Amino acid sequence: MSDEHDEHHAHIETPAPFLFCVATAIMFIGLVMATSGGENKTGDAGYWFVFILGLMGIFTSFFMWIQDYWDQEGEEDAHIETHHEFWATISTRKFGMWIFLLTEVMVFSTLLSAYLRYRASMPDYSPDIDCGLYFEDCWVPAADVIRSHLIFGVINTFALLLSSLTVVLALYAAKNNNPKAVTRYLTVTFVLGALFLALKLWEWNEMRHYNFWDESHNGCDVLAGQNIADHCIAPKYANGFWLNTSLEGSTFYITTGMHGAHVFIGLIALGYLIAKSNKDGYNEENHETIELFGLYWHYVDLVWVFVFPFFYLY
Amino acid sequence: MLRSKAIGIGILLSIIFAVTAVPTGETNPGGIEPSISTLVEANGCSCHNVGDGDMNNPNSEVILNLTMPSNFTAGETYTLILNISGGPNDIAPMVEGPNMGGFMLKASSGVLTPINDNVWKPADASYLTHTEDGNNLREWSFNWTAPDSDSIVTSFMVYGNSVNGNAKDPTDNAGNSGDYWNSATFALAGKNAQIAEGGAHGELSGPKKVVYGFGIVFITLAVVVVGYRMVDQDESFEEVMKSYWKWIYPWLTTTDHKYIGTLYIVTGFAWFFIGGVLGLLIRWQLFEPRVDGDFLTYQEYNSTFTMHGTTMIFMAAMPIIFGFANYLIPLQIGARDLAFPRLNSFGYWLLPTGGIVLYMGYFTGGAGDVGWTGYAPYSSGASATRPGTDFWVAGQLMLGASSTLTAVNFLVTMLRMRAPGVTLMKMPLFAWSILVTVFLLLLSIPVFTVALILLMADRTFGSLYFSGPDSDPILWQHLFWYFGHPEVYIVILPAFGVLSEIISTFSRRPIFGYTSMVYAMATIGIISFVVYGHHMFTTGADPLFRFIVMLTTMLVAVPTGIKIFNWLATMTGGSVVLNTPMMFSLGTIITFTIGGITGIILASIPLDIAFHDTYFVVAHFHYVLIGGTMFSFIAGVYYWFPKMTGKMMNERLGIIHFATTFITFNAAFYPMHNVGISGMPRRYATYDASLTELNQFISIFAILFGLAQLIFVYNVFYSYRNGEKAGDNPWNGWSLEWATSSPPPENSFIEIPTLLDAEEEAKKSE
Repeated sequence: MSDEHDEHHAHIETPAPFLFCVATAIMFIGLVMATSGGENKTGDAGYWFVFILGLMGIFTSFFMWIQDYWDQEGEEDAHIETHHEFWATISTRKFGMWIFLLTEVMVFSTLLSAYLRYRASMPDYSPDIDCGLYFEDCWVPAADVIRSHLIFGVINTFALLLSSLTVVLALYAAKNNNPKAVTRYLTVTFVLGALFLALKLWEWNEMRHYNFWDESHNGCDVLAGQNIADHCIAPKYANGFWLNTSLEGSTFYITTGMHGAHVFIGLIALGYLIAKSNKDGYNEENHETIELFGLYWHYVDLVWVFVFPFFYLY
Repeated sequence: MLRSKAIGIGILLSIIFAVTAVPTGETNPGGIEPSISTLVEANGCSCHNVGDGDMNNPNSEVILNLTMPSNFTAGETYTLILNISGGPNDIAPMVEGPNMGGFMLKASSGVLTPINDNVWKPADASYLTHTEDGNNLREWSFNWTAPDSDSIVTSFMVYGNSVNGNAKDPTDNAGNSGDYWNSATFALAGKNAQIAEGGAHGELSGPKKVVYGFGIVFITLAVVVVGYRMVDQDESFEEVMKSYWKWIYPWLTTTDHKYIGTLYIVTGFAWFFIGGVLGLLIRWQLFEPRVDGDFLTYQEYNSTFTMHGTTMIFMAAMPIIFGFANYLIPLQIGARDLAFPRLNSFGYWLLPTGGIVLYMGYFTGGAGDVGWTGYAPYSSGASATRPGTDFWVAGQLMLGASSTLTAVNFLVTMLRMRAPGVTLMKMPLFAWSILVTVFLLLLSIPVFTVALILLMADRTFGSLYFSGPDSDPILWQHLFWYFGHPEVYIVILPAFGVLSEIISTFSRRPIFGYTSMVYAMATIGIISFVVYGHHMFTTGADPLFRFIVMLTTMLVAVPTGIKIFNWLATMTGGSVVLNTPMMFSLGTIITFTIGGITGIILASIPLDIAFHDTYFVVAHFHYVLIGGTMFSFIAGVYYWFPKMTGKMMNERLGIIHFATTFITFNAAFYPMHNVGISGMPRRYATYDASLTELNQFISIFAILFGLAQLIFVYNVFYSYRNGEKAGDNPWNGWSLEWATSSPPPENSFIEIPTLLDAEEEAKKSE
C-alpha cells in the first residue's frame, strides 16, 4: 500500500517557476532602465529590448507551466486527502482561490481608500465656491469628464456583467457534458472581455486628448463655470485629462488601469480555457478550472461594480 | 450550515480589515512645513500659464541663470544676479517692459536680503520674490550673506516665470495665458567644502569597490575550483560543467517542501551575511564623526542603510521564517507537501531574483537611498537615486508577490491538509505562529504592493499620488505602516513559535497554558492592524487618533506578557536541559523583553516625540529583530539541524557562539539607547563629536558581533561533515516532525500518521 502511495506522490519537477522568476527579473530590469536609466536618468530606450525579452521569457515559462495541466484529466488535487470535515467542504484549489481573492480585496480596497482620501480632501466643483482660476482647488471628478463619453462605460458595464453570466453557462454546459457549448460560451466571454478592454482603451484615448476647456470654440468661460453639454469641464483639463494632469486623473487612470490589468490577466487565462475546451478537455468529471476562473472573473466584475459608480457616475 | 457560517465569518473579517485600510485622521498634506509652491501662491506670486502645457509642469524653454562667485567665505555678503531668458516674447532680458517676468528664490543656508525696490522679502519668510515693479524685469539682483560655516554647499532653488505681457490689468485673469515657467537649483560651494568625487572621474566609490571586490573573488574562486578539478581529476571542461549541472538542476526544478525550505534558509542566511556587511559599513562610517566622502559619501551612506534595512527585513528575516515553515509545517501537521508545490517553488525563486533586481542599483550609479520605509516625498521626488530607487521599488514588488503567494499556500495547507487527529488546537505552537503570520501577510502585503505600484507610477509615468502639489505624502505613511506594523509581528510571531517549541522540549514538559498561548498570538495578530499610527506621532496626526493608537500599542504588551510568563512557567518545575538551543532561547527571552519594554516607552506619545528617529528607536528594533527573531531562529537552526541533516551540531562551538554573540550583541546595541537619549538622530552619516567614544564602543562590538557569527557558519559546515549521527528524535521532542526519520524521507512520511491523545494512545497499545 505504502509503495503505491509513494509513487503517486512523487514530487513534481519543473523548471517553469524558476524560469518565470528569472524572466520577471529581466523584465523589471529592462523596464526600470528603459524608463529611468541612461545618461539623463530619463530612460534609455535601448533597454525596451531587454523588457520585451523578459516578457517573452515570462510567456514561454507560462506555457511550460501550464503544459502539466494540458493533458490532465480529472481534478488536479484529487489526491490531496483532507481529514477534517469542516475544512473539506470545498476543494483545495477552490479554497486557495478564495484566499487569493481575499488578498485581491485588499488590493482594491487600498486603491479605493487612497481615492476616497483625496476625494475627501478637496471640495467638489461648484459654482458657489472659489475654485481658483483653473478650478485647481476643487475636485472636478472624472465623472464630469466622462459624462460626454459615458456610453463607453455603460456598454462596458453590460459587457462585463454579461460575461459573468456566460462563464456560469460554460460551467453549466461542462457539467452537462456539452463540450461544444463550453467552447462557445467561453469564446463569448473572451469576446466580451476583449470588447471591454478595447472600449476602455478608446475611452482613455478620448479623455487623454480631448480639449475639455475650449474658450474660442465652445465659448467656455471661467465666470460662467462648468457647462458639461458644451464640454466646458475645467480649465485645468484644457489639454486633456491624463494621469499627470491632476489627482483626479491619477486616481482614475491607476484604479481603472489596475482593474483593466485584472481583466487582461483573465483574458490570458480564458485563452488557455478555450484552447483546452476546444480539445474536449472539460466534462462532468473535469470542470473545476472553469469554476475557479469564474470566481476570479466574478470578482473582477464585482470590483467594476464599485469602480463604475466611484469614477463614472459620482 | 458550517460552510455558510465560515463564509459569513470570512466576509465579516474581510470587511473589518478593508475598513481599517481606509487611512483615518487629519494630516498636513504638505508635510509639516508648507511646500514652496504653497508659499508662493499664498503671497500672490503664482507662476501662471494657461493654454500651453499644463500648469503643474515646468517648461524647459525657460532658461534660468544665477550669476554668483565660484565659492564663498563664511559670513561674507555677496550680490547675486538672477536672469530669465527664453519663453514667450523672448526679448533681450535687460529691456524694461510691462509684465515681463517673475521669480521666487530660496537658499538652503545663509540670509537673503533685497537691495532695491524690484525685489522683496515677505515678512517671516526666508525667500525672495519680485515686487510689482520687479514684474517688469527679467533680471534682478539681491544680496546673500553666507552662513557661518564655509565647509558646506549652499543650494539656491529658483522658480522663474517668463511672462508674455498680455496682462495689462492685474485683475484680468486672461492675462495669465501663454506664460511659461521653470525651476532650477544652483549649488554654491563654500571655500572649504569637500565636493564628493563621482564615479565619473575614474575613482571607484566605497561600495562599488566592495561589489567589484566580491565579484573578482568569486570569479577567481570559480576558476580555481574548476581548474583544480580539471587538472587533478583529469576531466574535460564539459565533464566538470556537466557534473555541476547535474548537481544544480534538481535544486532549480524541485517542488519538494524540504528542498525549498533548505533553499529558503540558505538564501536567507546568505542575504543576512550581505546585510550584515552593509551594517558594518554603517558602523564604520559612524566610527568617528566624518565629513562627506571621508569613508562613504552621504549619498552612499543613505543607500547603505536603505539596503541594510530592506535586506534584513525582506530578504533575511522573512526567508528564514519561510524556510523553517516550509520545512517543518508539513512535517508538524502530518502532510506530504504543501497544497500547491509549484506555487511554492515560484514563491521561493521570486526571492533571489527580486533581491538581484533590488541590488541592481549598485551597478547603475547608486542603490535606492530612501530608507527601508521609502517615505514620500523622498522616494517620489527628484532627490532619490535614479534608477537605484526604481530598482528598489521593482525588487520590493517581486518580494511582495512572493510573500503573498506563499501565504496563500500555507493557509490552504494548514487549514485543509492536517493529518487525522491534528485538530487546530492540537497543532504545535510553531505551526500556530505561522498560521497567524500568514493571516497578517495576506491582509497587509497587498496594501504595500499597491503602495509600491502607486510609487512606481509616480516615478515613472508621472501620476501624482505622492508627488503632486495637492497630494499627501502622509498617505504613503498610512499605506506603508498599515503594512509595516503587521510586518513587525510577521517577523516576531514565528520566533515566539520557535521559542515555545524549544522551551517546552528542553524543560521536559508540555508548554504551560497552550490555549492561552494560541489566543495570545491571535490577539497580537488582530491588534497589530490597529496600532500602526504610533509610527506617525510626529506627522501632525489628529490627537485623538494618536491617543487611541497609543492605547492599542500598549495593549500589545498584555498578550506578549502572557507568552513570556507562560515560558517562564513552563520552565518552573520542569527539568531544564541547558544546551545551545535552550541557551539561545533563554537569551532571547531576556533581549526580547528589553526590546519590548523600550517599545512600551516609545508607544507613549510625549516620549516618542522626543525619541522619534533617534538611536533609541534603532536600539529598540534591533533588540526586537536581532534579539528576538534572529536569536530564536539561530536557536531553531541548532534545534532542527539534526532533523534536517541527520547530524548533531557541535555543542562546544555552539556554547562559544552563544556566549560571544550574547555579550557582543548587548555591548553593541545597549549603548545605542544612550546615544539616542543624548539626541543622536538615526539615518545621519555623521554626529556630534561629544558622542564619539560611545559610537566607537558600539562600532567595535558590532564588528565583534559580526565576527562571532563566523563561528556559527564554521559550526554548520563542520557539523554537516563531521557531526555525530542524530537519530530520529535526539531531543525527545513531541511534535510530529520527530516522528519521521532524520533527514525525512522523500515523501516526508511513509504513511500519514494519526495523532492520538493520551487516552486513545493507551487504548491502542492495549
